[in-house]
Amino acid sequence: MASVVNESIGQETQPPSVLPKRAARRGRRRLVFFIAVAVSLLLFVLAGLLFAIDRPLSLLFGSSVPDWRQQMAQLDAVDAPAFVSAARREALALAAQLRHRYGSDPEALFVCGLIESRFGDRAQAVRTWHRVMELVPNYVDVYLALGEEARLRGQMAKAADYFRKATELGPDRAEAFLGLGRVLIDLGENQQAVAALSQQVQLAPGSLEGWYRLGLALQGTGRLSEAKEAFLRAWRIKPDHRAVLFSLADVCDKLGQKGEATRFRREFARLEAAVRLDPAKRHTWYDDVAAAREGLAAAHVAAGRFFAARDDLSQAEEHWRRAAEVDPQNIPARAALLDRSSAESRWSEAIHWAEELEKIEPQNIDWTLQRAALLVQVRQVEQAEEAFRKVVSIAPERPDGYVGLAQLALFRGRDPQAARQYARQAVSCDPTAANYHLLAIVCERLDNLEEALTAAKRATELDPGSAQYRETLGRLQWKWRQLHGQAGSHQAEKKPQPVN
Amino acid sequence: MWEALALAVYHFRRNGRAVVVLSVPLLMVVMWPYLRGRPGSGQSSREHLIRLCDVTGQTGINWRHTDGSGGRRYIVETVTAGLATFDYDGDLWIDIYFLNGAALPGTARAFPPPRNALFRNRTGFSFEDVTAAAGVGDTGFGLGIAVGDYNNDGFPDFYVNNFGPNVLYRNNGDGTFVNATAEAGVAAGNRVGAGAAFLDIDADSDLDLYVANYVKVDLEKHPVRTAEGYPIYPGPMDFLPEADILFRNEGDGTFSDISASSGIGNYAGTGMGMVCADIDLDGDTDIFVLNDVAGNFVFVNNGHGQFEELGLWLGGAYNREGRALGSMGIDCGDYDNDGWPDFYATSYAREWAVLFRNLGGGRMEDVTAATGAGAGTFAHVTWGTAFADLDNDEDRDLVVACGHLQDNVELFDPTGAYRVENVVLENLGGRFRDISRSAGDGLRPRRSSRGLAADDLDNDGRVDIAVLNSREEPTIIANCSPCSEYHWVEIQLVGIRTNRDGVGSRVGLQTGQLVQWAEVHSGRGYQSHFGSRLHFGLGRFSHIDELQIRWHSGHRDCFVNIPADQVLIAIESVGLFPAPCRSKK
Repeated sequence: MASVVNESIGQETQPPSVLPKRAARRGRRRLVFFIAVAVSLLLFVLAGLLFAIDRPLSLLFGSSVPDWRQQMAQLDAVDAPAFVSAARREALALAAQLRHRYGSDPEALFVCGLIESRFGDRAQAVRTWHRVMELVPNYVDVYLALGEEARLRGQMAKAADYFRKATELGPDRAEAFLGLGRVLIDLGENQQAVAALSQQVQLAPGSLEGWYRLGLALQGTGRLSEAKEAFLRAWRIKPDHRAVLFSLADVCDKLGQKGEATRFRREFARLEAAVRLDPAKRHTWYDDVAAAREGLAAAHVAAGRFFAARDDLSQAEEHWRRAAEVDPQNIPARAALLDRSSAESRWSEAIHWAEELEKIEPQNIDWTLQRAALLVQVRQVEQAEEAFRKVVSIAPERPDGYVGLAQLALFRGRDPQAARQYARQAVSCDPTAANYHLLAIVCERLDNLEEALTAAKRATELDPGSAQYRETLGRLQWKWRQLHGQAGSHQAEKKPQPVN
Repeated sequence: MWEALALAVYHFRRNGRAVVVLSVPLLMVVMWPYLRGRPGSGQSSREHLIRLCDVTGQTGINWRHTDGSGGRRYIVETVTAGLATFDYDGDLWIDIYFLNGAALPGTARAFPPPRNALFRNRTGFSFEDVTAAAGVGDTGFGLGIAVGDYNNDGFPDFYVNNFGPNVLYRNNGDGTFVNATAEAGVAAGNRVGAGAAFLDIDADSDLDLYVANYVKVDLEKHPVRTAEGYPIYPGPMDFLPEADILFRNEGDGTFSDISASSGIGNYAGTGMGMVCADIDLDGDTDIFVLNDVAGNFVFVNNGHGQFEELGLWLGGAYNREGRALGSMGIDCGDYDNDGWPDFYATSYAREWAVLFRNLGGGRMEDVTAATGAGAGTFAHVTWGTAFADLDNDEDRDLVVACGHLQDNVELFDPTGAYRVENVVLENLGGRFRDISRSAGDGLRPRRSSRGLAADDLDNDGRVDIAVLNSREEPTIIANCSPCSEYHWVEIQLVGIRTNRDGVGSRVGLQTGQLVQWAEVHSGRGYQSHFGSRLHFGLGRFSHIDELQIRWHSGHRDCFVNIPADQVLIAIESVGLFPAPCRSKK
């Protein structure tokens, strides 16, 4: 500060020779200022250019996920057409990227075809799939995709040919038989459809659509009782499935079972009215943004699977994360992320994905069970117990919750009586070797050797090959002998206690 | 045939080769009809006879449809319109009335404004525009139409179901009409209309009126929708459904709204095409109304004009999979000649049009897959439809008008197209096959069709077709099938105790072992009207063994041994008369 004052005082007193130096200094400052402004402007323009040519750059430099994220975050607040076109651009860029990098890889090309098909370039998709067929003539998924494409165009006979080929190439692929059965029903070829769909439900016994369509095909051939059985199988999988209820009512009617027909038809009418009258459900049919989210997420999920198959798990994870981010309802991406973070012992992250999956599918106990198991891993036993109790409340007929609670009680070493009760309920729900074994262990802890022995014997009978069960049984028998002597074991054998 | 085959095998075993030489010609003779094919034999490999020729250019019809498209994609643009074929001037030549759209907010105003048009049939496929002379050029936004002689004066009147106030035109009998809407009290407010039908709900010999409505639309608050980012027309689920209206004919030229008391008004639907028929053959007229993306209504009449909605319970509300389709148009006809009226309903793209077979008593079953009746329809939005025996082979074929409602569908769904060819399905003894590609150039024009009417426009005994195309000129298709060895008959009913048009009456005729039945409908297909004069193909039979008319009044007339190949007029309780032969004017 002093020097400044001095300078200012000396401005008038200093000789004139100093002035040009000051002017030069001032000039340099100005120059620096102008250069700084120019550089800023240039950077600004460059940034704009970078944004504008984002796609080619992303193709050159690989992943452009941060740009997508930024762009989509901006678009979340804007109108549907802009959002959808951005999603389309992103998906097609992803396809182009895969094609550019892995053009000769049939898996990559197949994924490209899927993305192109979903985002409007169906002709290109078909060309891509045919290219895959040239590379790998036995690529089952290509036949499935071409079959579906033909079906959508109303070319059912052609679709049946593709699906039939898919079943020949992939006799273990349930979806091939499902696709074939579906178009055969549309073609009125019910006998053949029954054969295809029977195969399908053998491969995928939990397939609702498989059982439902098998019912339709059987109904078409006049095998009404079998049709009803198939519909009932589908109904048990999803009791509020309207198409299944409708078909059940129809087939019961034809079988002369009027009471049942009326019951199913009333339930169908109730659900149908609920859908028609719920404004939220009415509008989801035309939600373009939701469809775009779903499509873009599916593209990233497919890309993730492609990279996972190549053991490039970090790339795969990036795509799954993007899918989860784009579509708040996407399950496959979250399930993959749950698996990946669990495998990498990133427990808190895994718990986060399990929680998200629970929110999306609150009735699917698998996610709650997985969360509970993860909570046990991080020693959050109170929350784990709560999760297992939730499983029991959602699906009291399934043993999983009871097993978890019993194991948790064992783990904590508290309230063994409750553990035994849970283990008994697990056995009651599903009398498997594993559940009997659990009961045996719990009873052993309670020093109830009689019940433990009985349960262990049952476990060994059900799964004689299990070394673990045999070891438990041996240990319990040894304990029994120690306690009661040789005769006692006979007594125990003679008087086995009922397990339940 | 099988006996001859067995005989040949037996003699071959006994006598060896010599018998083969003799048996082969014998077998050829016995099997000839089967190898050659016969009417309704179900031989899918045989050459079909149906030939349809596009004669639009020679008809003199220069009218053009508009949907009022003003760029704002109002839902009403997608659903206009139907048409009617009927003989308005009693000269036995069937005339055509086309419905038109109108200007909507955003549309450039045209002068003169678009209007409906009546074309008088002069010589079969030569028409003259008589709209102005007849006074029927309504400029409302037309959607549906039904024709019926509501005042029983012998001249057909018609009702136009609009977006906006509807119009009833009363026929003066001198080639002109008068707008009788106000005096009849059937304007029905300011709704978005759909199909309409005249029917006699209580058998009191005058025609009542059913008016279907689509959805509640407020153009000021019209939703904007997109598909894959492209602007599209919204669908019915974006709007609230609208209840239909039933008007009772008071017999003095006026109608009263009995929607509430009849039970009709208890149900709000997204009405589209409709048809009235005696579904359960209990002698009264029931009502089948298609709903767009909602369960269809089947209103069953208790005989006194009281209705119960039984669509779900009778099997007509949904397709085989329990899905409410994007239903459009419906026609009624006995495709399998079992005496029960069956129904064919068109639908949206990626849905099959549905054939509901009447199992008896009104109970229906979706037999689309089993019969192949959906062939050619899955990829398209399908609209107008008609059961018609196009080759006079004693069974009713199907004609389907196609075309997407999204004019930019190619942008977001390349499996669809706005302008497409229409479809014809040949009935082969209860199974259908798509013969569109080989049935002549009548189906070649690529349009976005809506209403379709099937009638014998040139009085040659073969059913012709008129199609209303959205935003374009109509297509007139002449039936030029080379089926001269097959016979036919057409019957116009004139009621005395029944309503004058015989609506709701059934005609059955027997040729050999076969009995065919048909009912007189008013309002059918996609919001259209046609077929007031019943047409029957008779195959190789040059005489009808027996003809029975079950009039809606309950009276029955029976006639025997009637020569084929003529237009007949049946007057209730009086007799059957050949129509005065009219040469082309």
